[in-house]
Amino acid sequence: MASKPSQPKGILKDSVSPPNEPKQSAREIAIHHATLLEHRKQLESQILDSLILLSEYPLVRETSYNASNPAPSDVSDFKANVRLFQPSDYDDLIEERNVNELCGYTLCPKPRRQTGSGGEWKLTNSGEIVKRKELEKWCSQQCARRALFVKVQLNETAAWERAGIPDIQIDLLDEDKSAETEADRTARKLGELKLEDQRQAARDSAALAMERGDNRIGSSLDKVKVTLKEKDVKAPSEMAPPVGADHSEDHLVIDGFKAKLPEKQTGESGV
Amino acid sequence: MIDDLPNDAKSKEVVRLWRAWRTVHEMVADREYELAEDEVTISLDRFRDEYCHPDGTVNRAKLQFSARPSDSMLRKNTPPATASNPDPVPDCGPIWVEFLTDKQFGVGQIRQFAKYTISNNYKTGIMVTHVPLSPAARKSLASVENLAKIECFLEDDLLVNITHHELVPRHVLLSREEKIALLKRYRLKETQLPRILQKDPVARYLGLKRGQVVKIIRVSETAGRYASYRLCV
Repeated sequence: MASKPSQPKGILKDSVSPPNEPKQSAREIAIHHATLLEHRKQLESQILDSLILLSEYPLVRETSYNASNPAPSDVSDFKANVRLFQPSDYDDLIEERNVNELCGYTLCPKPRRQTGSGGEWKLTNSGEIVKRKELEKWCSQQCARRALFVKVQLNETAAWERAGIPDIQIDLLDEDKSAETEADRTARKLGELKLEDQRQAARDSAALAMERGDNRIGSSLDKVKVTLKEKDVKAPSEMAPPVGADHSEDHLVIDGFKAKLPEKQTGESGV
Repeated sequence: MIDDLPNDAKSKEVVRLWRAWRTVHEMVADREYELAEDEVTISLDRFRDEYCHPDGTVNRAKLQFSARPSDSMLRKNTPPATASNPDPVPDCGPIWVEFLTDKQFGVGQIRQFAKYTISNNYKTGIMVTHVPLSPAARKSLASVENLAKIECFLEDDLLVNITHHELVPRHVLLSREEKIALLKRYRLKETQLPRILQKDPVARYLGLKRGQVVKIIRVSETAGRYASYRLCV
């Protein structure tokens, strides 16, 4: 005040500069929250997509595979898709599978149990009285155990709070690693390797983001869904000798190929 | 009317479906679609004649109808003309109503219904079911929202028309111009209005969309009538 005695202070509030600044920051805050919400929505739709996908599993329906010995490709898909689920999403998946008349356990190809007509409660073989709905969710007691074994490993925290943490690994009940064939082992190793790659990528991007000082959430994740597809590499087709070409140089051809000698000859003749 | 019926399960089922059928028609008429008076107030005998098999069970496959929006509804739902959009099209269209018979509802059934609705150029589809949808199916309804609005009602919820109850005040949907006039009159922003949820039973009955405003007219002992406004969120 003492330094600027020449300028009388008005009683009105300064109306030019201060409202501008909060407006700007308010806009930034709004955009920040909108991005968060958008990220959540993306994750939710992603979860719904995997749920619908898994409600038709297993894809490989051969007689050699069953719930206790599922196809390795199905196992890796199941593990990859179920990672973001909350237990409630998993319950929804079981219900959706039951609507499709399948056993609630995702890797079980059998239809669900039908206990025939009757009331709301059922007496099991072990003498327990259970709700009929609970009983009809599965094809057998083992499948119920397998499915619940997966469920207890799922995380209660919301998907968007742990989407960046790829440390979630789902194990299956009675996963027998002794009897697997070489191909199965390779498939499993490949899956683990992929997971390890993702973790490394997440760590790297987090470190990079910290270094840059930006704290944007999910900007690096889920923008584009990248699916790597191995390209079948075929041996190049047998090189066929040119058919129907002029036969004037037939005398130069050895085993169907023409030697490159004549080029050198022309060079010499020029000199 | 119900007392003089033979009291067996079959006719109970017929009466239930008849009541749901009437409520759906009243609902569609209240949303100002074009429906004839005798379609809405169908008597039980006529319902039995038209929609029952000879053995007395209801032919559910016949329980479906469509309706076109009336002129007043089209006017209500047309956005005001602007310089960039001088000839706006109304954002409502024909409606399709179907009673579905499936025993269970998953994503598959929903997709089938949505596909039918969209491929026949209906803007709104109402499915009446007698079992609740699976949770995944309910979530998947949102994914087709920008193509067609799929609404789902339980048969049990349609046995009585809730808007005829004496404790439910009259809800009137405001057109866009009326909404703008209201906000101007009271110098309000949209967010300053009281709100009504989209899943509110009356909002579901009227098929409200986000951002629409309803005028709620209550009977008041002191004022005679009291109107309040709510924004659908």
